[in-house]
Amino acid sequence: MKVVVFWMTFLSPFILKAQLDTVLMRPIEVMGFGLQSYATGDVLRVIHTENRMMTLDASLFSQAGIYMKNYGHQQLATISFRGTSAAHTNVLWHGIPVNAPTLGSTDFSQWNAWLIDDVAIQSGNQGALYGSGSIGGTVFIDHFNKSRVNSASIGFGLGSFGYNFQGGNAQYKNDHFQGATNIYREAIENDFSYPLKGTDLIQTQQNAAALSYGFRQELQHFWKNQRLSMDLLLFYQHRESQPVISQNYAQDFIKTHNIKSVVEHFIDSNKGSISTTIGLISDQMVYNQNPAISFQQMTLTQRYEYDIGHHFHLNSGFLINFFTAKGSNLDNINHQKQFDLFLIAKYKINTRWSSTLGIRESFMIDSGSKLLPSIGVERKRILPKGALVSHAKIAYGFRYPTLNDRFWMPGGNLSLKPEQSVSTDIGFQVRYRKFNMLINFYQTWAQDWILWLPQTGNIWSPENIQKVAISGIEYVTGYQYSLNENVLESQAVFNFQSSVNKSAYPSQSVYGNQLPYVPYFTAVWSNKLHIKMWSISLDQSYTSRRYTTLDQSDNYAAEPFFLLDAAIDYQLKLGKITTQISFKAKNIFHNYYENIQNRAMPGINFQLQLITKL
Amino acid sequence: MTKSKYIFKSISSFILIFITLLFVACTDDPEVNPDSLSSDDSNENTSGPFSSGIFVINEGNFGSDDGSISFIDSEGLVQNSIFFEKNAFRRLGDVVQSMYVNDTTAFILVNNSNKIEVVNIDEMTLLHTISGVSLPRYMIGNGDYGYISEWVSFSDPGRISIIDLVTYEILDTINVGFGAEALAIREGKLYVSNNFENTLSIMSLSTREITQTFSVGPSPAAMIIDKNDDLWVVCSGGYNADFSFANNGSLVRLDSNDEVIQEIALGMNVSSKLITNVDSSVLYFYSGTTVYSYTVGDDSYETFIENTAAISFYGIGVSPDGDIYIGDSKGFQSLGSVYVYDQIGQEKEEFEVGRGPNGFVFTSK
Repeated sequence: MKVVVFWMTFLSPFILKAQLDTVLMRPIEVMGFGLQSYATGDVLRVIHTENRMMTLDASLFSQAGIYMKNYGHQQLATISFRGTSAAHTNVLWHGIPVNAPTLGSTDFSQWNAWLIDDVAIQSGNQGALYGSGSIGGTVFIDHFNKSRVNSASIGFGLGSFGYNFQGGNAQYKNDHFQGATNIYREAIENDFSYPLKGTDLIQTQQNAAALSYGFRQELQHFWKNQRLSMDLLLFYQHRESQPVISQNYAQDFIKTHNIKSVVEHFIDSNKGSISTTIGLISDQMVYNQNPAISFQQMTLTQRYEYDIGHHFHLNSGFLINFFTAKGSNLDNINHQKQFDLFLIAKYKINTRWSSTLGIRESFMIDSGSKLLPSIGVERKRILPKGALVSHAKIAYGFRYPTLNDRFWMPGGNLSLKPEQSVSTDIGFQVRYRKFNMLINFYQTWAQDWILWLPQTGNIWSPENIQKVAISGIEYVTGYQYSLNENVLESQAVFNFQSSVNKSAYPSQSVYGNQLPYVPYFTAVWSNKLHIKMWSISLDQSYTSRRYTTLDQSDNYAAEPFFLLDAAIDYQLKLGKITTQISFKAKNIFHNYYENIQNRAMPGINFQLQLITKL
Repeated sequence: MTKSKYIFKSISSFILIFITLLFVACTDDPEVNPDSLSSDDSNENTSGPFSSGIFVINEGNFGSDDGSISFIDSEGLVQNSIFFEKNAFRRLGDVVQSMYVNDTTAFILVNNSNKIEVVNIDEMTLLHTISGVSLPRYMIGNGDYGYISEWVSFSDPGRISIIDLVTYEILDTINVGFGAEALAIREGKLYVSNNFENTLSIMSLSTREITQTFSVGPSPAAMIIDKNDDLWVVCSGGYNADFSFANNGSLVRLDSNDEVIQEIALGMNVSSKLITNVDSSVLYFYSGTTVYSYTVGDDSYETFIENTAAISFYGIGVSPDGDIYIGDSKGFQSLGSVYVYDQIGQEKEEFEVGRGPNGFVFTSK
């Protein structure tokens, strides 16, 4: 099956790009499974990251519907969706789960967008399709379903606070072969100044410098109806650990090495398509002079898709995952073994109605098993020059305890159960050629969420103690206006989310209160104006107050913040050489803000980027 | 940049956005939000001198820079974050470990911020900041000098820094064992419990030399001197190879010759805190949410207070009138609580304080 992927219709419900840097609508004839919203009504947004000189968290920061927690500028960054935490977000690279099995989350500051083609984000419970951790949402980093061209480019960046970037990449292809090689170096001193809260003092950030290198090699071979692909990612990062504002003189640092590799075989026949993927991951982290913490993972997953008649489409497969970790507090851990089976059946009832039934059975040695059903239904109504799509879904989700939860010494708890959740969604999309609108209502009920609690003797230990009820609304609207060759694209996204504690822990008085670090309200408004070879972007985002304690104490709250970023790009063409010059200004109003309480973020800052492509 | 400039910039930004972009009408300015300037409006009228009442040391959540001091006055009214309020919103720091009072001066030891804030205790106004300390834990005074225990790091020996109580200058540092923790002074000698090893060090106050170091029990911590002038040290207990509790906590008694003359096995791991009643005849220690009492001279201890509604006891103190104050960290998920019990263990009152209450200082006019 040669899959023709029409990105804008397949990957996004929006006629406009979900984000202004998402890929343009153009057919790409490639072989492989595209990213698809298998559960009816699910929304996939693709963010095109190729030739972006920034960490992945910076690339995703302004995406609506997610909340990125940054422990400082260019510091540890985790992502969360729909009032959940980073551990409730599943991150897949080429379909391989890459959340660190020790912490159960991904540090997006360790991934650089320069080495990545695209990232897709999908809100909502996807447990049946993607397994453990897909409760709040799922992030997809790269996949092999894309076409290369013969090209090469180099990029340079300079910016505030000693920022500098150098990168290069090359793409190559012939009739049976294609590949890409990317390499980069990024450094920043991060010595920005900020007003010390509650005082008239200006403080210069200390100990927040970061240096990273990365390399990527992708190779793909095509023959007949088959494809064999490999991708190798190497990251190294030496990062000073940005201290809280009152201990600006701290000297902690973190060094990380990441090796990720994947091999995928794809075969297409008239009886269906099969992809078989093997992933190997080896990551290591050193904090100060302490012994290294490392983990290894080997994953084998297979996916089989086929059509039965014109009405049934089936997607089935399995996942086998082996992983372990080693460190002074994680000693003698046997390889953890996980085995999942899944089946997703999509039934097209008629031209208007379709439904999806999903089921997944997941087994983890010594951690039990979970059965995860999901069902969704979608109705499409054709309107004059547009369409109205409505959908509803109910899905179960879960998350296994992490290795730290189970084995950390001292405190690890071997008797922990998986966290459980059930979610419902109902939503409507209106699609016109130059206008689109989406509104989605969701609810999640979760129990057995794991919290680390102090025990006797200053030991902390995790327990299945928290119940949570989440409800929210996502609203997205986009508009495109063209005049001659000039195009204005605009998109606004609003999110309201209530994520409340439904357990009487630590006291009855906190029952019903919002969870820490879950903003009630976030909004993003992005605008991009294309005028011939110029483009001008204006992005605004707002994040409401976030409490850091369950009693919603104002004293311990992170205040709301508003950011305005702007960019101007010019594309210069000289023969076959194209040079893109970009000037970006971030936080133009120079607002002081904190993403994590008492961790400073920079005021206005600038970047100049130059990418020359041959 | 001054705050007024920030406010102006913020206001300008909102006006501009509102008019031109019709977008952020519902935004708040974090810099001008009055909620961020007051911890609890209902307590504004209770501010005043802190010369008589109870200081609660709120450790704060590690890495969150939110340690604080609360004050419970003689009327039972609570003022939280008094250091922050009385010092132009200066943050106290990360992991407020302890507070030592010398006459009208208080020394607040901020462990993970590697500093000691010196304040006037009546007004809680900042007099001086002592830097140059490394993971400070506790302080004790004698004459013109203050003695500060410091962990230094998890891989270096701990030390004692000696400061001038008038100039706050660090005069000397003396290495002791790993994890230098609690301090006690008796008959010209400074006792230091080395928490990361199982030892007690004794330093001569006159020569500032370590005269003796010897083993006691696993994880030695707080020390008190009883009515007989014997010194007691609580040993929290150790861990098995798999880091499960070894349940070998103990109370160790040293006579005036520094000889171990009694050791009471507790059969469990206990916290690092130990206090006595007013006349130093009864010792109190706790594990989980149960406080135990030991009467000097007895062979065994008794259960004194059980609070099944509490989450995690984190600090304990005895007031001059004999009431027992206990801090509950609430798992650091919310603000902490302080429970007050009378001398027979009946609960009298409960207060909401800052995050992670780990200790108390009682003052009186």
